[in-house]
Amino acid sequence: MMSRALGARVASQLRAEPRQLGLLTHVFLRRITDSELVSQQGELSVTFSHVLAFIALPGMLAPLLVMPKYSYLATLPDWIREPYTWDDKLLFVSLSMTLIGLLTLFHWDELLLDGRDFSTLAALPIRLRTMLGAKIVMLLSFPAVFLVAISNVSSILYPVMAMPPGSGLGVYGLTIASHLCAVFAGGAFVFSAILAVQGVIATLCGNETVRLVVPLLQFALFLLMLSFFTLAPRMLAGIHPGDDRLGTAMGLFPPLWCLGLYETMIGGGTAPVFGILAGRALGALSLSVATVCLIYLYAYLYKFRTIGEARRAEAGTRLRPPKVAVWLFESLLARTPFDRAIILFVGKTIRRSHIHRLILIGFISVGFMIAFEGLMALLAQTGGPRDGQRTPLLAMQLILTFFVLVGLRMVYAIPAELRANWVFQSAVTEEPRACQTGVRKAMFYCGACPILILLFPAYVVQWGWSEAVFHLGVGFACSCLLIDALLMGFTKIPFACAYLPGRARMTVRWPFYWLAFTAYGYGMASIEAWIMEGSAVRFVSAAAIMLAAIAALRILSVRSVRNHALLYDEEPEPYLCTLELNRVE
Amino acid sequence: MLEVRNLTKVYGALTAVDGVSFVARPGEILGYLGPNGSGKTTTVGMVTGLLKPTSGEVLFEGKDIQEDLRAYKLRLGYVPEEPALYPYLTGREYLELVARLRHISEGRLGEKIPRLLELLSLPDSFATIAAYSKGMKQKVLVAAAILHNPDVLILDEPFSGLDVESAMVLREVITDLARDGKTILFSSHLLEVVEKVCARVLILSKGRVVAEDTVERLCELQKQPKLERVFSELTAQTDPVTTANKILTVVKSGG
Ligand SMILES: Nc1ncnc2c1ncn2[C@@H]1O[C@H](COP(=O)(O)OP(=O)(O)OP(=O)(O)O)[C@@H](O)[C@H]1O
Ligand SMILES: [Mg+2]
Repeated sequence: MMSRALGARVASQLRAEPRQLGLLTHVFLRRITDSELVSQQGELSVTFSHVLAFIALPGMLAPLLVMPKYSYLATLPDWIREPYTWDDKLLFVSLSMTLIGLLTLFHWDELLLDGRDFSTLAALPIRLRTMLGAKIVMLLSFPAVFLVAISNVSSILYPVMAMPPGSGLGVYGLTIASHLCAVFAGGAFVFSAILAVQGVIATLCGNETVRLVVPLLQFALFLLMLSFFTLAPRMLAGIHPGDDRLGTAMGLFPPLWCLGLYETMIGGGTAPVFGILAGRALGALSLSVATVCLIYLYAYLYKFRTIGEARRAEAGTRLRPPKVAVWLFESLLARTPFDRAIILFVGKTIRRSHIHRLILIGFISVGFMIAFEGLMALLAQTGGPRDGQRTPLLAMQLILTFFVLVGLRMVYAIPAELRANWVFQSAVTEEPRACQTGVRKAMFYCGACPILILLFPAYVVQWGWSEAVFHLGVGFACSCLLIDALLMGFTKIPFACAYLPGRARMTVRWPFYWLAFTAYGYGMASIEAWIMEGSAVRFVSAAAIMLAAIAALRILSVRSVRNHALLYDEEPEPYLCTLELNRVE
Repeated sequence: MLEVRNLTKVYGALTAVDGVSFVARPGEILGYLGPNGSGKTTTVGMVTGLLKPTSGEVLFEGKDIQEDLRAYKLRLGYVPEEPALYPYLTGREYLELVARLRHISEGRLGEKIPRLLELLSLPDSFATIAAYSKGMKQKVLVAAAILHNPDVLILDEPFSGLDVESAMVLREVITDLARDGKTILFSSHLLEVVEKVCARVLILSKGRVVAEDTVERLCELQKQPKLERVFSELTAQTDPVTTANKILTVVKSGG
């Protein structure tokens, strides 16, 4: 009797578990698609498909862009033709690695084994095993979905061009398979490596360390992802047909490993190093996957309830700011309580809100990459910066502040915990003008200042005190200009206004931003170099013009918000602008 | 004095608040009662100026609050129904944010906030609000609302989630504030508390005012001993025992 009841229970369990597994996986995947940004608007599916479309787009365009080359290549013999396809193959691999990497970074929190899962699901009759299983299925399907989106078009189109002319279906199939393998291996490696790093940190480090380390790590990973793109041509230049020895730098560049896999699979034996590289690809992939498995197993056995939990629940450090800094802040930098409120609120939000921090880090990394490339070009050209060639060095601080400030302006528009904005609605009594002062200061202190101060010692070492101080002054002045330009017509409290995806209209405005960037970064730097070489008269007149420009822009930006109320709810712009002919007054 | 005239809010086909008028005088606590969905929170939203009325007006000291919303906000304290707070701030940081928005100087907020946290037995630690219990969040809301010693206090179910002792403390605080001459609008489902602290009560049903008087007069008029009975009679609620039985029948039916 007992055993029959038990048997029935086991049977019903077995029937229930797959269903639960399916449902749970769905829940976990939903959490990813339903990111903080999107859920507040409730336009979930729209934005998720936007992400997918955005991801798929480069993969679709790339084969079309490289196509012209292949009509020419088709006339060449195989052994000459083959090396010319390497850069495109590397492009596809890097693309998938970078995109998957960025996506993984953005979903950093949801990918952890999470105390939240436990607390929300504990009330239901679900086993730990099922929960873990669902999490794993989710972890597998997450990169799979995006990899398919990235590579569906290119894996069919590109092999047609890349395979030797006149070869049959078998070769076509093999090329497709190699393409898919290389792209998937690259994506899977990046995904599992990030997961492994994150898991190791969450498991080994205390919460305070994690809070300190994670932003730095994310910054490093961002740079790494971008370097997959920017370094690819230089790395590839180190590989030649017939090579059988591998340079150290090349051997450490993951996209090349996957290119090795690609080439080895299609049997392109032109460069023996590809065999070595393919070996590395497989080794690295297995290592990172094994690490992830071990960590999750460990978490499953010992730590399931706690990983990632305390991190969310605590903030701040035990360090108290020195008295001088507090005094400076309260009586000099931010004299009104409102300014202090906004500056601290902005600082804490970008420090602690995952999505805001990550977007800002993304911007900074792009700026860093561009500045770095400029520097590399300079070094390659002259063997060291000579006096007449200061511009790229001078431009560094301008480039970085440009990206930080534009990034800050972007994240200002993204709400943090929108429902909590009632406190601003009910307590803020400032005019938009006064609000703008606080918002401007926040941008200055949280965005421009840290960058300028961090770079200052480097400039002192390079050029000595007086020039470095002058340069710092230019940095401050330019930041003021840029901030006023960016805050033109900004009548919101940062992070406290509903976000409308289409509002920023980046697709329309990016040429404008690009122009502004070149003018600001390189234009200003050349002017600065010109002033530094000139006389005192040149300096004084330039300073006067700068001050006038700052004043003029400030007046414009204050006027732009004068007759407006603070905005907490953005009105969508009409899709269709009618002439309102039917309106009756 | 806070005066509401013919306040109406329409959501599509639904009239959530329908021609509500009342007066709340300084030194008195006006109880605002009504079943779920009767329009209490909607009224409160309009009285705080966060929600635009479809029609009608809210006057504070004889002036429409929309005319000088700024001056009104400076003197307003508000406990919303939902504890929507910034989860990544600690309780202390949140109160500091509110205090600064309310123009309180660093010196004064440095004194006030640790004292308030201690008196409300809230942790002054690195724990963020994300880790707070419901009652703790509610306490943060209450502290944020009274921090600047406002002249008008609008409380939307301020007791939800509070433990027995904190509730008693809050009750005392509210009564004392009223004695100090503050104007208090107090929306709640806790009729025993309302009975004790409110000079007058206003009962809302489906967006309309169905009664407004002192508790004693209402009981007298309806010939009922307790406010609870008056309430269910006026809002035409069904007999709880019958409804409970029906619910159990549904729950138990089938498998
Ligand atoms: N934003 C909105 N859009 C549409 N309808 C709304 C909105 N807000 C409230 N309502 C409707 O208005 C009516 C009154 O809601 P309200 O929140 O004021 O009730 P309440 O008296 O506070 O209820 P409770 O006691 O449950 O808090 C409800 O029917 C509700 O569905
Ligand atoms: Mg309510």
